[in-house]
Amino acid sequence: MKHATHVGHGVVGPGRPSAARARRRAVRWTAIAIAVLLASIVVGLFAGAVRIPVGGIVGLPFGLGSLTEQQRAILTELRLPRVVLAGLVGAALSVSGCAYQAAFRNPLADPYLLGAAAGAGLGATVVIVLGGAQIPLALPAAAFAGALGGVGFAYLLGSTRAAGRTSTSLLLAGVAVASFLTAVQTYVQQRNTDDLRAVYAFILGRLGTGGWHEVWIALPWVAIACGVLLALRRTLEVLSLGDLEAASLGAHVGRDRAIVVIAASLATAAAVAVAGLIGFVGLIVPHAVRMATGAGYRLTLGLSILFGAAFLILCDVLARTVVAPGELPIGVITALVGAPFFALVLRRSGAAR
Amino acid sequence: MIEVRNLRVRRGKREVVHDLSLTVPGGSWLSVVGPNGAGKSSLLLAIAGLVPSSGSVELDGTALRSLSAKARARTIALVPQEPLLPEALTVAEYVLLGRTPHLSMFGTEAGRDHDLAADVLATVDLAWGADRLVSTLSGGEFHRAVVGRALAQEATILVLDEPTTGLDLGHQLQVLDLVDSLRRTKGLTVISAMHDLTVAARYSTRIALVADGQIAVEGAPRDVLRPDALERHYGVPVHVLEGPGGELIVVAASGTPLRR
Repeated sequence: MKHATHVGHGVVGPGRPSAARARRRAVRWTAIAIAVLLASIVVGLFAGAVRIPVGGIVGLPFGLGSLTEQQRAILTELRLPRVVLAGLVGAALSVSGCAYQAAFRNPLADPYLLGAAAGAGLGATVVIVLGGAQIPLALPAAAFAGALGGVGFAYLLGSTRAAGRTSTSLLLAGVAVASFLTAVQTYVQQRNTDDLRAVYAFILGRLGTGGWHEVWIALPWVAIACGVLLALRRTLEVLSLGDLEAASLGAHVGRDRAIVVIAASLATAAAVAVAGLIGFVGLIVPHAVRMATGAGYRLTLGLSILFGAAFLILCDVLARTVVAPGELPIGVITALVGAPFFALVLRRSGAAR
Repeated sequence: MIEVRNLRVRRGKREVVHDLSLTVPGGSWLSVVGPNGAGKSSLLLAIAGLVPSSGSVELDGTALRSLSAKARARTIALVPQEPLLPEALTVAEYVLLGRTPHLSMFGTEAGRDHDLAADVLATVDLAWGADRLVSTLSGGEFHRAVVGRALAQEATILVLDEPTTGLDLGHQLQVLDLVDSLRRTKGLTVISAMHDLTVAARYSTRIALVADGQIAVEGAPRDVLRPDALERHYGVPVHVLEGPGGELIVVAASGTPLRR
């Protein structure tokens, strides 16, 4: 064979160097992602009406730098929770999108695929029109329940024996459930046009109301989901080969996909509950990471968490600075910034091939 | 060794394999041939435990039903009809996915798995391309990678579901030669679905002609590939010729009208 002379016959097989190379690539990209995330956190803490020196921001966790009481309070009580929240939501949406793209073998899969967005939108709308938005926790609880309800409904519908229990039947069930819930949501909304503004604020996504309270609501769910999905990253790679091949490799396709859907749905529901519907993140971040690294799900899943967090932190910086002191809906920014960025990555990776 | 007794497979409401029994001795190669829709794929996938069936299947003396999914995948490996081409996996990573039945759900490959994958890559002659993306391989190379993934499962039984569809003659024989030499050196048991009867005759120790979900004829290639039986089940008159090396050549006869 033409390259047969390259075959090594030493003690170390030819597969070992490639494993080492893969590990070096993983370490390199993880380091880059962490650096980008740390930089975006600093930018996120720096941006705002009150100027705070960068040195003070970087020194804060080490007890260094001289900040006034007021500056310290602005950082820890206003900016930091918002940055952390944006990071959590970005990480949750990106990791869910990445997991869904693998488990459903569908490049268009995003965290809202199975009706999570429509369900959350309906839950939030109902609470708003009933006047319950002022009650603490009512809105996030309703959005959380709505998101999980939507996914659960789609899952039951798509995983019956009659539906075939395939990823396609699940996906179609998701489309049906999402359309139905969106229709109900639109109906409720049209019957109560006084609340249109509040409903739209939710649907376009918002981080402006976020504080430590919201962080603590979302953190456990997002952390659990990230942990489970990271632990399953090899299984995701197997699932991405399709139902038949995954099963032939000894995977429990139905069970494994259910675990992925549950974990991703919990993260998505938590994100939606505290930040409303922020589109595009879960779709583009995993793709951009995949195109940039050329790596499989095993590496891109973890990188999606880090880059997703950085991406949303930076989008939020734009949302609150571009028209300051006003604020743009974060969902508008993710699409406005994300779409051209995505097109650029798409062009570049196309040219590289 | 595969022992199938009274196997029935349903696809939707239709039964596509009816009360079928067959034995594939260890270390032999059985080719399942027959017209489209005869139930070849269903039979193979049922033997591999990948579609529901009734009746009994024993793999190396163990009932298929009593095996866990992982134990099953350590016993029998599938080379699918149209393997999906993953976008972003290297050849080495692709072959390593064959280690799945040897790992826990949350596990990852250890040194032994990497060493084995390296051996497999050398066996399927892809060691030079370990770091290449699978999506950049040629058709023949990708098929060898798929065989490599199946070998990495360290199964004793290999199921090939029309393994070389879409490959040109040279690449087709290259892949099948590889499987045949593995069967001879490692004692693998091979069961394959085949469309090309000449190719089936070249590699199989036995051939089963399947029609309407049942075995019509089974035996040595020379006994099964007979003009009368083939014409009856394929609906076209055929010639079975002998090549200069004594090999069987099956071709459709010309000039005679199709009998349906």
